[in-house]
Amino acid sequence: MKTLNNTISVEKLRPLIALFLLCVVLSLLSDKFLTVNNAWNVMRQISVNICISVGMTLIVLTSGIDLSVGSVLALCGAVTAGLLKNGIPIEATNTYVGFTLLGAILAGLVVGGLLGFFNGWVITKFKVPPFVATLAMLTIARGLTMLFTKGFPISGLGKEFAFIGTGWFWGMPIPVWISLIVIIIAFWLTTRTKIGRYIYAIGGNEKAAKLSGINIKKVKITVYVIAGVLAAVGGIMVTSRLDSAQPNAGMSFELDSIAAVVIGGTSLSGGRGAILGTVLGAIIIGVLNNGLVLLNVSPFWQQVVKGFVILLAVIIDKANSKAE
Amino acid sequence: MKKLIKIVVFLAILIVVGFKSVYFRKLDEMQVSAGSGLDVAAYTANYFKELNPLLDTSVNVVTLYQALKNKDLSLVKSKGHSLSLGSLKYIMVSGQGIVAKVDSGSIIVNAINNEMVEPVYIETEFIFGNAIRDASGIVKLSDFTNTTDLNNVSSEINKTIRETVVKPFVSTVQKGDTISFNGAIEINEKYLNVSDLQVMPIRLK
Repeated sequence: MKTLNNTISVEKLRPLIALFLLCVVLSLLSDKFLTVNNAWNVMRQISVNICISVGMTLIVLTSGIDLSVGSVLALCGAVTAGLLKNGIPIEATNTYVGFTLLGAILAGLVVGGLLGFFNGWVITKFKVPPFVATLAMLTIARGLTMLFTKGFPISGLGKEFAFIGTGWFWGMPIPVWISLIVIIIAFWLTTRTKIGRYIYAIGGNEKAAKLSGINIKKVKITVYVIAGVLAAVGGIMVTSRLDSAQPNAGMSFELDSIAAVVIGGTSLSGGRGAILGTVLGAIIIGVLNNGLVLLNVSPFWQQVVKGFVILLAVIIDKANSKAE
Repeated sequence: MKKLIKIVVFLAILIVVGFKSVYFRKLDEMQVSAGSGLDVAAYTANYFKELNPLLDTSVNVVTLYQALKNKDLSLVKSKGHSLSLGSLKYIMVSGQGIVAKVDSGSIIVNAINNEMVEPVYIETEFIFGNAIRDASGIVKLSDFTNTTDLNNVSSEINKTIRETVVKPFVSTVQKGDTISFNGAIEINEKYLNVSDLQVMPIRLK
């Protein structure tokens, strides 16, 4: 029993140990790494990944996956920026529907939620594997982004909007506050609510969960909606930070978020994992990216290194599953 | 009863949020006031006014080519400009020479300076990019509040060159003519390739 407990605690501590070792190595290799400015820079950069990775964690816990988060992020950012800047002109009635900052942000979040709902609905209604359904959404959302933006960035969104991605509040960047709020809510959701327990139950054994009376469809759709909304939050943060909605924003963000989830110890087969692990995973990815940039490593090699780190995490996950 | 209260509260929140989120205006009024951004045409016209006196300070294209062939970037560093952080620099050049060939997309000129000759490609079809905008150093990032205006200025400058400089010149120039020219060249300091260099024209005589 004692040995089992030790194994569990080491397993939980593994991402933390990896992060600590990574920080030690990088601070030895670069004198710019261990500075306050760089720490805030890393935190600001990973805020977006934390938001979408938290959503991804919920999905992976139900043994699903969402490949569309990057495209959904881009579309929601574009919708927010487009409505804020151009509103909706209706020529037939000579009416211009303008959107305030609140309105544009809400519209972006609603679009994210709707796309998430569509993902969940397709997966549960037609039994389409999540990999395929969200792969389709990846293309659909990217195409819609291109249509909405006509392939051009939407820029000049105003100081108020830029504050979301670049501002500070109580000595901390706004994106870090947003990601902190997302983490707290997701932690509460997964550990203190009924739906949190259902998510783990579905991922652990879907048939057993169904037999015990859990509404699988409802829970799954809810989880995809949450992931969509969180991708929208990420999209708004990216757009605000750049003061521009780029039609190709969020490319390969899904890979970074899956990497954060896996490195954080969430099992790809579902039912096992935690939000805080994902947060650590996202920090590891962020620190790794930052360290490689500081060490002047070619962007091509950065991809290779990141790929190997993900591979290592998956191998460890498989080994753990086998041992259990 | 509890459910009814919930619905009423929800609807009340929805109405308040709705009022705070959208507003309605007449479309024609909005279109009149929308032209409040940068006046790109006026900015471009002013740019050309400031550019003209600077053309005489351009680097001779033959001198520049000779230096670049020897991997000497000192002229690029001292006379080149760029609005970005990358390795691309833009430099204003001038030259004289004899037209060797008139293609559909470019004019090849044997540029002469101090008995040295270099073949120079003057672009006449695809006048694009930021070379003409950035080479003079007149345009400053601080003049703009957004990247769209900055890009629009680039497009407007290129359009002006196409219509007022290239079009009338191309219709009259022939092989064997002696011409003088001013233009801008994009140089990648990191991956220098002299054979790829093209002059984006600014003035052709």
